[in-house]
Amino acid sequence: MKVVVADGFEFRFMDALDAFVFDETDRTKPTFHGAPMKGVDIVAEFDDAYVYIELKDYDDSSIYDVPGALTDDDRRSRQACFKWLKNYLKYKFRDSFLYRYAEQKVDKPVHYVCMITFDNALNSRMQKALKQELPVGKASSRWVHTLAKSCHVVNMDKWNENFPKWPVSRLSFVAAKGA
Amino acid sequence: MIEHLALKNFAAFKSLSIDFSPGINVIIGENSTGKTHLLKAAYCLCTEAPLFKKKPDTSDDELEAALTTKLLRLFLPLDDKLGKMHHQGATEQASLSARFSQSQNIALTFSKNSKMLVLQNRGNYQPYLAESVFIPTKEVLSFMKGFNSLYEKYELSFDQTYQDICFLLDLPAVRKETLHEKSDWAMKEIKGICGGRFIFYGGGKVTFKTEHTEYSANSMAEGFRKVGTLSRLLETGVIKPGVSGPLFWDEPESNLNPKLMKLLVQILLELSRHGQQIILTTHDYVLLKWFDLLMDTGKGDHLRFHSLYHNPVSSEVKVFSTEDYLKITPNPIDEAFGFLINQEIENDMGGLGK
Repeated sequence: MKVVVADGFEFRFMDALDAFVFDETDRTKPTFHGAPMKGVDIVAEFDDAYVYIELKDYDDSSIYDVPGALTDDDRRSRQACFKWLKNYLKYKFRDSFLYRYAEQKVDKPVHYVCMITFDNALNSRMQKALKQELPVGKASSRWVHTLAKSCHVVNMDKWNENFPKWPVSRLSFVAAKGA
Repeated sequence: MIEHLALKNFAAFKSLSIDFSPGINVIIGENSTGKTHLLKAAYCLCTEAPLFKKKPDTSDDELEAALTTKLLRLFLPLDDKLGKMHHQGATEQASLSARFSQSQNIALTFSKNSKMLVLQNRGNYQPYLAESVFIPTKEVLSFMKGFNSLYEKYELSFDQTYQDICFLLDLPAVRKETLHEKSDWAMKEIKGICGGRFIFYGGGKVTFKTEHTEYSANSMAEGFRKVGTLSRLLETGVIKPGVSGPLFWDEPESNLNPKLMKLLVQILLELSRHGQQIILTTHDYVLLKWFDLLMDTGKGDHLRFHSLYHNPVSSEVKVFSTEDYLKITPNPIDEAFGFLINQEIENDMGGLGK
């Protein structure tokens, strides 16, 4: 089992061949990232796939909720936030893929899972937008390979429900449990 | 204003108690968790204003008789028997009790063989009197012509809420000068978005009038008829913020387009800011979310979400109440989106992580 701690969460990958903090900033670690590129939080390798994981823990999700805007200014502001987050997630994936290409680690399908503390409805909107732009699948008839095989945006409850072999907990909860 | 409702061995409920917000209460829950039952039970206990208006010295016996008839007509139990509303499997008496805003209260019981409700308590019940309104799921403007006389004469398969609302809609409009400022505002907003207004001629005849033409109410979109109902209740003064009793609304969202949904929530919030208590049920994410997004505690908004659910161990219906949208648990409306997410992960990632 591989245990990875990132951004206040602890993941326990029971069946992973490898799993590590991808955007590692500690120079002393062999997984130090060290390139002027963006990076997802965690990469996990399995027999038949790589999974890139990006984490975002928000207190207030409403700043991303475009349909809920009350005024034109509010709408523009929320659109900007939603677009910013979508782009942030998109470019993190693309840079990570490039980095992994340079590592010769793109030999298996890549799944991108963002764990964001939104409700399911807002996560669904983010997922739809992100899938279109990432892009998932072959974006052109000229492509032979895909960048991302799939992309999903889930909250912690959905993560644990869908990936029972990769349970995640909040670090504060883990610490309290251990105390 | 109803503050508290407790139901024991009644209908879907083994034992349930709920504290209502004086502002807006949004009740959610999967089918068969008793949302409508809860709404009707609360409405029943809030609804005897006309009885006391007609006869201020109404006796306990008369009140029991009136409430028994009301309960039977609201729930339409099999064979018209009170006992059929007794919670399945329960042995103790069923009870319904409520507490209102100035410490008034009422408690009623019945058993499996009861023919009448038994009044256990009516502490200061009478002075509570402010007429409440129940807007049922189906809109009524399309069939209210002649409905009341038919309802009185024949056993129609509509519960009492339909007759009550048809009766209230046919009341005359209040004088312009007595119309509440916010009622006037809401009616204008509804007229603006619908492009006209419903005209009530009495006897259930309703039309829809624009600046140049008059149409049959039936030819109008169902969503318009729904907000038209609210507009009319404001016009007749049946809903008057700060004066009228609670407004109960069972699934207001059906057939409302998103534009109407936002307006409806804006109106309900504005009415509640001026003292109108509102208790509604919904299955709709957009309606639920509009409340969350439009509420403004700075304007004194008070919103409480109540989630009805089956306890997984006992199967009893329980309620979880919260004022924080993100803390609604369980939230079957958001979970519907969750099921879609699960299926997409299943389709795209197969057995990974499982």
